[in-house]
Amino acid sequence: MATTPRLRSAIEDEPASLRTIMAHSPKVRAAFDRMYATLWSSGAVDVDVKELIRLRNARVTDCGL
Amino acid sequence: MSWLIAGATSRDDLLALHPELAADHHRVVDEFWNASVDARILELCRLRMATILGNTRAWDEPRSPAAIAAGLDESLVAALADWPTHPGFDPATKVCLGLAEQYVLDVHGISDAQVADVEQAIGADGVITLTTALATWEITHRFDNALFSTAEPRGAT
Repeated sequence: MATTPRLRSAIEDEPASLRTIMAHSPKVRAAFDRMYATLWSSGAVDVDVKELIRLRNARVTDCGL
Repeated sequence: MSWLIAGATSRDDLLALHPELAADHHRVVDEFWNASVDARILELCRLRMATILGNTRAWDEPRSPAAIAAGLDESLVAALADWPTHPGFDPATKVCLGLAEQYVLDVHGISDAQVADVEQAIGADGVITLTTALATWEITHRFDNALFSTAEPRGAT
């Protein structure tokens, strides 16, 4: 699994990370974050079930983050 | 048809079950089309992913208006499966289509060089826009595949 960012940081004097490379496209990032927050904060599925699904999905897709 | 709502014929019909999420989803997609990446490239990547994931609905729905406004060439859409060797696809489109295919087929197979090529073609902001779009379209295609059935509705004659 790859966990080292392949892009430089978009924020001066900050190391490359998921947050700082996503800053290259701030409007896209903001919109995606808003949708992601809605997924967590609303709907009929309990948040603990969502977290289990997230972790299981990360395991299946071999996500190292 | 969808087994979730009787009479549902579109993704929007199902997303309407969760209006807040639907609005957020549309907002994200709108940002892709308004971003710096050539909308023709984004649309070709979206359609190529749909083919690989077996989502025929994506091919049946209208093309992106932004891509059409940018001059989307339907002959290239028709030739999409042949993009690696077809002379009509420019280098930037090819590196983006290559990333889109790799993203779907084996995301761990994406290489440093591949991302560098995409960055050279569309910039770092373009890489973020494109990869976020690929993630969103993968979700969308799987959403369609999961919630729409190709079977006839119960009781249909």
